[in-house]
Amino acid sequence: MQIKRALCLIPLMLLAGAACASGSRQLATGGATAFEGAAGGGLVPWAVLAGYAADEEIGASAFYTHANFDDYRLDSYGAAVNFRDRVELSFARQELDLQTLGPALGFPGASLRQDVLGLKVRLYGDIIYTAAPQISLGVQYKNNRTFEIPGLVGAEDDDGVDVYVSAAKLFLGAVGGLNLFVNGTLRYTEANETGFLGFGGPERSDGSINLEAAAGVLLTRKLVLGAEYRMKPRSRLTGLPEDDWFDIFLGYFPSRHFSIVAAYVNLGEVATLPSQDGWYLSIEGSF
Amino acid sequence: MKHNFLILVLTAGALWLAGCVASGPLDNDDLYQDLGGTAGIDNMMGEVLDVIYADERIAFLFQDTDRQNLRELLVQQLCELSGGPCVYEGLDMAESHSGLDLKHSEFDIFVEDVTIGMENAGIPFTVQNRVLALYAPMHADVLGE
Repeated sequence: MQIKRALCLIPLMLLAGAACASGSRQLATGGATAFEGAAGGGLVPWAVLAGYAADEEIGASAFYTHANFDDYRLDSYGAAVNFRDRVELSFARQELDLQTLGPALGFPGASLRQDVLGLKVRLYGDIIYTAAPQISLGVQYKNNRTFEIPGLVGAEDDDGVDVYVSAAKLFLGAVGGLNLFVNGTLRYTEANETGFLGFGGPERSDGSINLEAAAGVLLTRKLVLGAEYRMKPRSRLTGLPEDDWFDIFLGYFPSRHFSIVAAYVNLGEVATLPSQDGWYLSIEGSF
Repeated sequence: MKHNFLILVLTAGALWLAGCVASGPLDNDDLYQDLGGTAGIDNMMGEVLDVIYADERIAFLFQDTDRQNLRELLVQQLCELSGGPCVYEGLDMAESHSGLDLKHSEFDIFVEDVTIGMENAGIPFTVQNRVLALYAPMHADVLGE
C-alpha cells in the first residue's frame, strides 16, 4: 500500500521539477537523499543541503527509495526543504518489510515503520568554494510507529534523537583531473538498527558515537561513482548484534530537477539474519 | 569496532589536510599547455564570454564592461594562474568586484557558464575541472566576504 502511495509522488515530483525554476548551485552539489531523508548518499547524511538553493534561494526536493535484501525489503519516501542553503528541513517515512522474520515470529506480513523528522544547519563553508570543508550539524527525531516487535526484543523507547556533524569537500580535478568528493559524519545515537528496533535496551545505557563516511568521483559532470560506510553501535538488544553497513553507488544527475542512484548495499547481520545484501534504487526530484 | 578510533583519526586528518589546499598560480605549466597555451585560452574566453553575454541572468552585470578589455584580462589571469608566461595586470578580485554586491547564485551561474564555454571550446572535462580549481578560491573575494 505504502509503495503505491509513494509511487504516486513520482509524476508529481517530475511535474513540479519540470515546471519550476531550480536553485543555482552546481549540479550534484545537493547530493541525493539518504534513506533517513537528509541530503546525502544512500546510508549516510552528508554536509550538503538538499536541492540547489543558493544563499538567496529556497528549494525543495522529494525522494523515493527502494531496497531489496535477502530477508528484508526497505521503502522510504519523503521530502526536504532548503532555506537559503543554510537550513534543511526533511521528513522521511520508512517501512522495513520483515519477509522472513514476520512469518517466523507469527506475524505474517509484518513490517517495521518509522518516521524521521530531520533538521540540518550548515555551520561553515562551501563544499566547492572554501578551502576548508563545508560543515553541517544535523538532528533526526525518529518515531517508531510499530513498537510491538521492538518492545518484545527489549527496546526501551519508541522514539529517539540522533545528532550528527558532517564535513564535506569537493576536490576539483584532484584525481587525474576528475573531481573527488569526500564526506565524514559523526553521529550520536541510541537507536537500534537506526530505530527500526526502537531505542535503548538492556545491554547498555549510554549513547554511542559512530563514524560514517562517503567518498566518490565525478566521472562526468552528471555521473558520480562512490562508496559509503556506516559504523553501527554495539548492540543494546540482547542477542541482536549490529554489523557496520557499506554501499557502492552510482548516481546520475541529468539535471537539477532529477537524479537517480543505484547501489549495492551490504548490511551484514540484521536481527539474527546474516549476510543481508542487495540492490538499492533511489530517485529524487528537486525544484 | 576496535578500528573505530583509528578510522576517526584518519578521517579527521584527511579533513584537516583538505583545509590546506593552496591557491595562486600553479608551479608548472602543464595546465597552460593542456589549454593550448595563450591562443587556446583566448579562444576559450571568447566562447565563455559568448555564453555569459547571452545569459540574461548575469549578462546585465557586464553591460558596462568593455568586452574586449575583459577578455584580455581574463586571458592574462588564467594564463598566469595555469602556469603560463603571463602577468595579470588587472585589479585583484576583491577590488574589481567591490561594491557590486554580487549574489551567491550569480557566482554559481558564472561558474556554470564558464564550464559551458569551456565545453563549447572543446576543452576536455578533466582540464575543465583543473581550471575550475583555480577559480573556486576566488569565491570569497568576488562576493566581498
